[in-house]
Amino acid sequence: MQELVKKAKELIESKEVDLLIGYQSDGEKGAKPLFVKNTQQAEKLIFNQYCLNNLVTYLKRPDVKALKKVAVVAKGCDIRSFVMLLSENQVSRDAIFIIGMTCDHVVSPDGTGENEKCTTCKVHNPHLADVVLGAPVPEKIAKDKPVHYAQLEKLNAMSQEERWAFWQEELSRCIRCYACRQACPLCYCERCIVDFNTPQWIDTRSNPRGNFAWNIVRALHLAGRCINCGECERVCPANIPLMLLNQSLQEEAQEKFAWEAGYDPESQPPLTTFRKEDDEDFIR
Amino acid sequence: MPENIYEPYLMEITEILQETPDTQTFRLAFKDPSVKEKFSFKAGQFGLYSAFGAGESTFCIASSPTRKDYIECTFRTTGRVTSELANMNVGDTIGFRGPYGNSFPLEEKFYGKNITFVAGGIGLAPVRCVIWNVLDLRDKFKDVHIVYGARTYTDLTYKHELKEWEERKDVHLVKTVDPGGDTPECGCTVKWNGCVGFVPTVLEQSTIKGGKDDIAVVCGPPIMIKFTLPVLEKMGFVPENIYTTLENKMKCGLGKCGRCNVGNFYVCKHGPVISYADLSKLPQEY
Amino acid sequence: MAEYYITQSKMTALLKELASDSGMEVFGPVKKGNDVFISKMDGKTELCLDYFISVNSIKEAIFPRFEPILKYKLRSEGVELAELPPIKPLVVFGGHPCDAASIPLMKDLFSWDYKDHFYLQRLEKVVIITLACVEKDENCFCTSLGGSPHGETGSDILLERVSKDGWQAKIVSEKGKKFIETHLDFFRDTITPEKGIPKLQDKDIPVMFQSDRVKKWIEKNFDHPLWEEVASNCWSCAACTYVCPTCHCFDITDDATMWEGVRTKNWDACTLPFFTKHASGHNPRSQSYERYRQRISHKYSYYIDLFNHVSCTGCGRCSRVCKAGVNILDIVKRIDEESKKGEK
Repeated sequence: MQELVKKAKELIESKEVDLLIGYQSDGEKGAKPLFVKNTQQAEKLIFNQYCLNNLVTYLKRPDVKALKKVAVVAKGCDIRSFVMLLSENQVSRDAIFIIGMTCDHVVSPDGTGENEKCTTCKVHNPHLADVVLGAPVPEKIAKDKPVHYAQLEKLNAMSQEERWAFWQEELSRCIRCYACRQACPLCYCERCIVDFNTPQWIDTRSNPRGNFAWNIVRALHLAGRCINCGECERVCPANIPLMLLNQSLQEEAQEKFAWEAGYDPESQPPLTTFRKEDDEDFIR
Repeated sequence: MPENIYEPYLMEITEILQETPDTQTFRLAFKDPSVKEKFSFKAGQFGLYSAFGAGESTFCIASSPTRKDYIECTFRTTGRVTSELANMNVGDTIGFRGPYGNSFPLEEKFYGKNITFVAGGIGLAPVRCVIWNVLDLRDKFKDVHIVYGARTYTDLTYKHELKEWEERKDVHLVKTVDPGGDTPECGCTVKWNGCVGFVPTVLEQSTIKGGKDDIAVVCGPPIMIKFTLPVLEKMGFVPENIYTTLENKMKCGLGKCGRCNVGNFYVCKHGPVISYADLSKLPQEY
Repeated sequence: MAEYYITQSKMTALLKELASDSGMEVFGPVKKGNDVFISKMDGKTELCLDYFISVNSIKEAIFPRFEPILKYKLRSEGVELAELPPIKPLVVFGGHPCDAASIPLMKDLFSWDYKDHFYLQRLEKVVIITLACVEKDENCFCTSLGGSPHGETGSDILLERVSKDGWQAKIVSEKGKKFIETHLDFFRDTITPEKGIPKLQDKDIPVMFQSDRVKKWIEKNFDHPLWEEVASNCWSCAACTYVCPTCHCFDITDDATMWEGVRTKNWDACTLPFFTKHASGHNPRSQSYERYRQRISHKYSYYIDLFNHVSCTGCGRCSRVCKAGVNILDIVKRIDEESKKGEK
């Protein structure tokens, strides 16, 4: 990763950026975020198949936002979340330097092999970056082909009662640590709905009512916005299959609005726009 | 105290005074006569007041421990609990847990001394508790000075008592409003007879002569405190004799919920009253 | 003294029997995905007995995620306080010595002047059955804090594996003794210790830092740039604190209808952004590294000032769940290094 270290040093030395967020190795089979502020720290930068974290999530943090310019190491999938931040006016394009990394797939250190999200990836080669590093990777899926998530099939085949029982069991383990929210690049609200108490919209206790309300409201707030980076599910200490919720809504957005989030910064998410020709069959 | 440490005493609101447009004072009486009998507290202590259904909020006890039959609290409407409290009427029931925390060392350190009170805005509430305590035992203290200011005339709390202190011969009150603050608001036209200026400036220009044995009690917004301290030291007060009360967010008041600490200093247990000498040893996390 | 043994199948049967009793609360290890969680059981729960360490700690059995601390009725005449449900006897199976050690640690806090009888009553009524460790990973560091893979602190019964199928049960407390005597039928089998059953010794988990040196450094270095460096990747969730056996911070909230209400004590965490935010908007710990500094300082310095003990048992759970890569052992070791530098 000579190339990456060299580019990072260049950006830091020239003072083009105040901070660079990248990856460092974490044991033999692992990587973790690294905040680089000097060239010595830049030496630790790596990029490999264990670089799972979506580092774009740090761009929402107040202390990072306050900096003049920040560089971030990002895979194609991560850049999709950056595109969403751009189209929702959460970052200024000039304030961020994207070091795009080509990527065939990422691998969890637990030995489960290629990450599930990589099987539907259309951006192995970064689609928006200030510099792209790494050899080009052949794209396997055409841009305009709708994505289908295989793991949803089991859920969709269930009866309503079975689904209810399934989610009751899964969500009972939610301890309301908000790791899903904090790791999500698109959960950027300065004050989250769950932190509001006038009125208290969502029960903050980790009881069935609170857990259902929290997880469903979060999924709905991501409808048409989630870019399938899978971070919420990956960071969940309780192993709750949160992506099932997000992916259902993604398929919905494709079906109803022919929309996939995170590719084009010029286009607007379906729930923030209105078009006369939109199918409104949900209004009954 | 009940076996369940989270169980509040039930109290009836016996009087409500609208201090400013967003600030009220409640006078509260214990519903259970045996509790009323046993209850006592010291100046500087606080409690958790609950609006049942909304939750609990932390305020100091604003009345003096020398006034036995009731306690008073003064609060500004900012959040869920205070909004709920603000909508209550005389006769309604609220909960009270307390008294918690330490107190001003009146007997140990204040007796026989000149005392200067400096307060800003709603920061007069904890100070007012000590003022009345001192005035009710007036002969135990030497000179008593009060410097109190708020942004505008409207924002001055305890206006009726300011008048009383002004008229008393054994208290020297200097009241002030911030520059521009004497403009009558809310349609009320007031002939302002106090000073115009920020509290630290007014304090410096006052006739108060500080000394190393004199006591100062300071409470108000952080910015006021920040500029008041150097003035007090310049006047001759020493950090060991300057006291304030810390206000960090609290949920339990019992040293358990873990959010009010400043370093190893738990505001609810070791505080809220602290001298500047001690405060300067703590990390800047308040 | 008599020796007691119990097989895995007998243990499963015993726990299931106890869990079927509605007058009791039973917690045991349940598998979900690749991980095991200490969960509340009913008579039908499938137990998993083959695991290294649970994601969560046994904390939530004794200090629940949320629990009612006050019930009241809202009547036109005023407010009336109502009865709370009684605290049931508990059995907690499946923690390791690093879990059990946290329980007396938190007792210091919950009995600091004001006695939190919710915690203390549960402590009185619980039987903690702990598994001595046979495995470890790079996040384990109990020995650095005076713990041990076969430590007894906080347990009532310590199970040491002697065969593939069973354990020798060591009585640690009176409560443990009574429990075994009451359920003697389950503990009657004699198991001949098998060869090749791994046993973890203290020396297998080397001591990696000196906690008193760490404390001294923390006391003097509140403003040290190291804090920002080691904790800048913390994204401020509460995963670490909620799986931690010793983190004990909580929130108190009300939930009410027009006629009645309940006040509950709910887990809360110093790492969450709004934890210390005042109503005025001022936040004494507004940055994520400041909150993480509080977490470490509380455990390794403030708690010692108050109760003469580090509030960490070296279980490594926080590091295992943190996908932002914040590793408590790395940080404490780093502090220890800095402290050593200062000594020279």
